Amino acid sequence: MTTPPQSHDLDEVATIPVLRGPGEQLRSAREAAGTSVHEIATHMHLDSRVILALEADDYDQLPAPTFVRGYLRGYARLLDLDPEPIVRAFEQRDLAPPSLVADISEKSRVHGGDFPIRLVTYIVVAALIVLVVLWWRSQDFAPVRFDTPFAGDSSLPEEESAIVPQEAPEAQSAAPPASEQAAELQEETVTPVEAEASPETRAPAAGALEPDTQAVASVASGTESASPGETEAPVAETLALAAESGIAAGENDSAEALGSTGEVAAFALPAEGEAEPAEDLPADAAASEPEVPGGETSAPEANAEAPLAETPSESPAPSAVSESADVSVEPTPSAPAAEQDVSFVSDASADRLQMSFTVECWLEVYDRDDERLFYGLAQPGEQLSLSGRGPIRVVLGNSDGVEVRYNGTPIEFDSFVTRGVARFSVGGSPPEVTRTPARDADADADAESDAQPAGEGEPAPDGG
Amino acid sequence: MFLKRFRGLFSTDLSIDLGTANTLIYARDKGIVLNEPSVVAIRTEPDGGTKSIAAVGDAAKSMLGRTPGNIQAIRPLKDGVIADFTVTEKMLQHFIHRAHENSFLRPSPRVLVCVPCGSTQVERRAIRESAAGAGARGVYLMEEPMAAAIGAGLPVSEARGSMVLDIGGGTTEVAVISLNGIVYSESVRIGGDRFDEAVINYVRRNFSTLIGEATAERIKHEIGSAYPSNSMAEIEVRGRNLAEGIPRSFVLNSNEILESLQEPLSGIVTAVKTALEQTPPELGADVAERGMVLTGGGALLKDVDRLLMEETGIPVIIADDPLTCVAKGGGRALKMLDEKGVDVFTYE
Repeated sequence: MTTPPQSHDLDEVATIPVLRGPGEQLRSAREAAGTSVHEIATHMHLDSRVILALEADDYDQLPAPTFVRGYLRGYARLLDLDPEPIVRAFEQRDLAPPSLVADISEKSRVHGGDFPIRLVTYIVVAALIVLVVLWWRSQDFAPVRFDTPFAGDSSLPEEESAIVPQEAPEAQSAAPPASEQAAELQEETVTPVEAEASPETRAPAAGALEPDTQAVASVASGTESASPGETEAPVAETLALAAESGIAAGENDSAEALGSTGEVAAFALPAEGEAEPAEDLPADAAASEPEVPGGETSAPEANAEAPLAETPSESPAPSAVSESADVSVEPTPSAPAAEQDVSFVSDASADRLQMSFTVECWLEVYDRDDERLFYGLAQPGEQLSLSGRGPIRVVLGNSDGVEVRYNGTPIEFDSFVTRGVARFSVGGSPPEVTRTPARDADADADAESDAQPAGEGEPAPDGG
Repeated sequence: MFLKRFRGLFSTDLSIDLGTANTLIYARDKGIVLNEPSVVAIRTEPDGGTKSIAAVGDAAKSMLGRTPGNIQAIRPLKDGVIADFTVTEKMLQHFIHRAHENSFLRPSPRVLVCVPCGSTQVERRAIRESAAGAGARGVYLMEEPMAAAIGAGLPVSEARGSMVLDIGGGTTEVAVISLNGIVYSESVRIGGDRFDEAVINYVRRNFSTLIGEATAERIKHEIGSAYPSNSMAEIEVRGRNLAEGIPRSFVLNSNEILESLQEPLSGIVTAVKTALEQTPPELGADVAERGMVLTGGGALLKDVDRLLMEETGIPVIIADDPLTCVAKGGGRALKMLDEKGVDVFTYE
C-alpha cells in the first residue's frame, strides 16, 4: 500500500528521532483508525496518489510547500490529530517556497548597487581626485608668482647666474642686514665668475624695503662695484630686478644706480659699448647722497620721480661701490624717462630687445638657453629693455599695443598673433622671427597655445 | 523632489496592505513591522473647529463607538477603497513614520500599495495620491490577489493555474493566476465587515438587542464558524435591549452565528463558483487538482475552508499566516522590482 520513504528522507528522519516524518505519522494514525487512502482522498477532494505521496513524504510528487502544508493539516484534522506537530515535522524539511521568476528570459537590469557599476564609479572618482591633485601641484610649482619680484639675469652660459629667485625675496626683506646678505650673495655669485681682469659687478638685486627703511642695494665690498638700482614699486609689488651687469670682458655698459629711499630698483640699461674701465662712479658719493653719483642729469629726475622718497639722506644703499677701475656705471639717458625700465646688461653677444607697452600685457621672454629674461606683467606706459642671447623667445599675452624692437629694429609680429597672444622667436643666426611652438613655452605658460611648427616666421630685420 | 530622494536614503521600502479593517506594513528585510486597525480618531477643537488627529490604529479602534462629542473615530476606508481621502493620508503618514523607528528625518520610502482588483481608476488614483501625500517618494500599485498569491507562496510564475481567495475586511477577491498574470479576477464587496454587520442584524432581529461593531467582531472571532460542526460554542455578550432600553446580557451560540453568517458566506461561495466557471478549463483543472488557497482575515473564520470544499468540491487550503499574506507578497514583489528591475506584478 505504501511506498517506502526515500533514502534521504530516512536519513533526515533518523537525525530527528523525536519527530517522525509527517507522512509516516499520518499513515500510522490512518492505519490505526482503519480508514483507507481512498476514503481520505475522497474527503479531501484529492487524488489517492497525492495522499500516497504525502504518506511517503515524497515531496517531489507534490506541489508547492504551501499546498503540502494545507494537505497535512486537512489530513490531520480528518484523523482528529493535532495538525501542528505534523506541520512542524514538515517544516523540518525546510523546503523553499517557489521562487518568483520574472520572465522566461529573465533579464536583469543594471542596478546602481552592482559591483561593476560601483567599480566604475570609484575609478571615475579616483581619477577626478588625481587630476585635481595634479593640477593643484602644477599650480603650486609655478616658479614665480605674479606678485613676486622678479630678477632676471642675462644668463650667460658660462656665467653663473645670480640666484635670482632666492635673492629677490631676501633683498625684499625689511632688515638691512638681509639686504646686505643679498648683496653678499650676489657677490658670491659674481665673484667666481670670470674675469678678474675686469672685476666689475653688475647691478645687484635691489631690495625693496619697507617704506621707512632703506633700500639697500649695495654691492660688494672689495673688488667689485655694485650698481644699485632704484626700485619703483608703484603697486607695492616691488619689481626688484637684479640688473646684472655683464661681468665678462667689461661689456657691461652702464649700470645705473639710483637709490631712492622707499623703493629701490635695480636699474641698469645696457649701453652698447665696451667695458670701459673708465668712468667709475664714486660709490661713496652715492652712498652718502641720495642722488646717484655720476648720474649727472638723469639722477635728479629719477629721484624726483620717486614720490615716496621721504628721506633721501637715509639711503646709504645705492652705493655703487667700485673700487676697481673697471666698473663703468653710467646713467643712461633713457633711465629718467622710464621709471620702470629694467635692463639687463649682458655680454657682447647679447641681443637687445626693447618693448614698449600701451596696454597691460603679460609677458614672458626666454633666451637661447631657455633662461628666463622676463616673466611678469608689464604696465601701460612701461618700457622694457631686455638683453639676452638670441634667438629670444617672446610670449606676449596681449600683443595689441606692444611695440617690439630687436636691436633697435621694429619687429612685425602680427602674423604670430593668435587671439591676442603672440608667440615668436626673434634673433639668432640667421636672425629671424619665427613662431614659437606652444609646447616650448614654460610649463606655466598660457594654455591657449596653438602648436604651430616653428620656422614659419618671416626673417627679421637684422639686429646686428 | 530632491529632498524626498535624500530622505529616501534613510527610508526602508515598504509594502502596504491598505485594508479596510487592518493596515499592514511589510518592510524589506524586517518583515511585518506594523499591523494596526485602519481607524483614525479625529478631535475637533472647540474653538475654531480645527481638527487634529487624536489617535491612530489600535488606540483609535478602542474608541470606536465610545467617543465623546468632540472626537470622531473614523474608518477612512470602505469596501477596500478610500472613503475619506484626507484622513487616509494622515493615517498612512502616521503608519509610515511608525514603520521607521528612531528616524529623525521624515521618512520618504518607496511604497507598494495593494489595491482591490475591482477598484476603479479613481479609487486607485486616490490611493496613490494619498500615499504620495503621506511622504512616499514612489508609489507602486499592485492588485491584492496577486500579492496574496505571492505572499502565500503559490508558484505564480509557473504555467499552471493557481487560485487564490482573499477574504479581507471590506472585499473578497478571487483570482486565478498563471505565468505571473491574473487570468481571472473578481472582487465582491463582502468581507469581515459584512460578517459583523450580519451578526449585528441577526442579534437585533432575534434578540431585540443592539450590539456594537466591536462586540460583533468579538463574537465572530470567538464563536463564528462557516460550517456546522459537532461541537457548539457559546459566548455571553451585552447589548442594549431595544424593548427595555437598558443593557442586557444574553448568550449566543455558534450555530446562531453560523446562521447569521449564511448570507455573506453564500455571496463568497457564489463568487468562487463564478470564478471557477469563468476559468479556462486547463487552469480550472490545475486548480481542481491542487486546490485553492485562502488568505486574508476571513480565512481565519472557523471551517470556512470546509464550507468552500463542500460547496465547490475542490481542495481548499488556508495559507500560513493568512492575515499578512498580502503585505508579504507585496514585499517580495518590491524586492524583486528592486533586484531585477522588472515590475511584472505591479503597474503604473
